[in-house]
Amino acid sequence: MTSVLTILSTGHRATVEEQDDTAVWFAAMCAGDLEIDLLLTGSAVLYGVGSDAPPRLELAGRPAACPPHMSAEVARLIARGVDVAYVEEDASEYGLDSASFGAGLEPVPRREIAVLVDAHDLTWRF
Amino acid sequence: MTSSLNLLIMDPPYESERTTTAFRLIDAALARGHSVRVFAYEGAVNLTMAGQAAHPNPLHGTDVDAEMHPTTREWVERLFAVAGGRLEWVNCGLCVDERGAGDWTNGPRRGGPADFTGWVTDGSATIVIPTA
Repeated sequence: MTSVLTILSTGHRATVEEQDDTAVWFAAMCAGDLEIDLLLTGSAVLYGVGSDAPPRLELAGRPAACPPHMSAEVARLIARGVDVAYVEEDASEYGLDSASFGAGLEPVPRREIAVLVDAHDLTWRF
Repeated sequence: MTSSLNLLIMDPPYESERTTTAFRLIDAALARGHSVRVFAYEGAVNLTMAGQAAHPNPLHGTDVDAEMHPTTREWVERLFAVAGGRLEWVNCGLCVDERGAGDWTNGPRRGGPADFTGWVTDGSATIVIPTA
């Protein structure tokens, strides 16, 4: 099976309007046909943190019924066997350490991103 | 004391969180009794396109009804509904033409930069939320 490293570099891009992160959604939809792994970089490392339900948004009386819950989406990916990692240095810039992250997420030093890329057939950078 | 808020927005729908921020500002201003004037520039003219439709989420197993996906078109319609005549929305005509975005929902009208210059010189507050 073809292996794909999905690198997500921007978190919370239109997630409220989409009720999802489109890159994470795409990775999850492809995970049955491809061997997908996910690397969170930049602001996307925040997807590995927190488990509280997202706040409810309502505009002009119209609620967003299914707000994006990205830490839960990441946990679901891990439960399906997707390897999910985050860049240590990017997490540090947000004041996060390994204790901040949910179960199953692996820290990766920035210098080892190239090793991850080399270990996969394809790299998709979102 | 109530006043007017002018907002220039540029992002197309479903591309950033800036649109949600703009909608929240509009909603909050209207809720406090203010009037709001929106100049939708560039990709923001697509926010009001009539053909926007909600979708299911096959990843979550939710159908259209359960997902209740709020389109930007619907949110603009809701803002007009609660505004009671205090919301004015102008879609930049040239931006509309080049995007083929002329079929929009009830409420917005076609205009141009002259509308915006008229607003910003009457003493009301103005916020520009540019695209990245």
